[in-house]
Amino acid sequence: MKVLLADDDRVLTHLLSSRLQAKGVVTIVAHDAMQAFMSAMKSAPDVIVLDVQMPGGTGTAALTRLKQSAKTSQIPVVVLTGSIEPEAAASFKALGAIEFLRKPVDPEELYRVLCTLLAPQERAG
Amino acid sequence: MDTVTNKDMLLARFAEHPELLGELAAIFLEDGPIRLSAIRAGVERRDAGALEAAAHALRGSAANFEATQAVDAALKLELMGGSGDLTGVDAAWADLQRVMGKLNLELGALAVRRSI
Repeated sequence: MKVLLADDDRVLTHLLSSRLQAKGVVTIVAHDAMQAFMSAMKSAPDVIVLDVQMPGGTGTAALTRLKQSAKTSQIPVVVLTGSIEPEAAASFKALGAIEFLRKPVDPEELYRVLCTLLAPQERAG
Repeated sequence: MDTVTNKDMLLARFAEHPELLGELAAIFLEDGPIRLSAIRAGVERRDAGALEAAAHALRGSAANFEATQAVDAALKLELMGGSGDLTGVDAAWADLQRVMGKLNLELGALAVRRSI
């Protein structure tokens, strides 16, 4: 399983990357939206975990761009957000996110989500 | 001693990975001054949008450490920035700096512990 972790919070990316790697997940880390998009294009991860509230609204723009690009549109995107808005989940899912997790993120919970998302693919493959 | 992290919960969360907690604390201490300086700039310029974004970033990072007081203090500034009503922003900023001073000391002890 290869996962792109895109978040400007280096504490969170190090936490998630370390815990997922310990479970055998290959992780790629990006700390801004442009880096995230370029990494997704280059590395073709199985899942993208994206903070949609990176500075300047760029996370949301990255989600839109990922869903518009033929090369990345089929990659499931799990959205991370620190938003306290109750309608946030619906709005990000409307943009194409497949799952939504609020921060602080529990690495175990993220791992369970990733396994659930990829289970059908891995059984088929 | 009055602490700004829920230390028991934090240590329990990382009981199997204490070295990882030390690494995370070290990263937070490296990035904290940059995040605080972005908040300071927002406060001084009375730039609500910049304040909201900078306080949001710090809140997210502090939340990784069960640092409720820092999270709450940053959230107060984030909400002020989001609403555009900066009444009381200087007091809220002072409160955040006070809490962050304590948080840095507590995380500093964890980060140091990693290298022993």
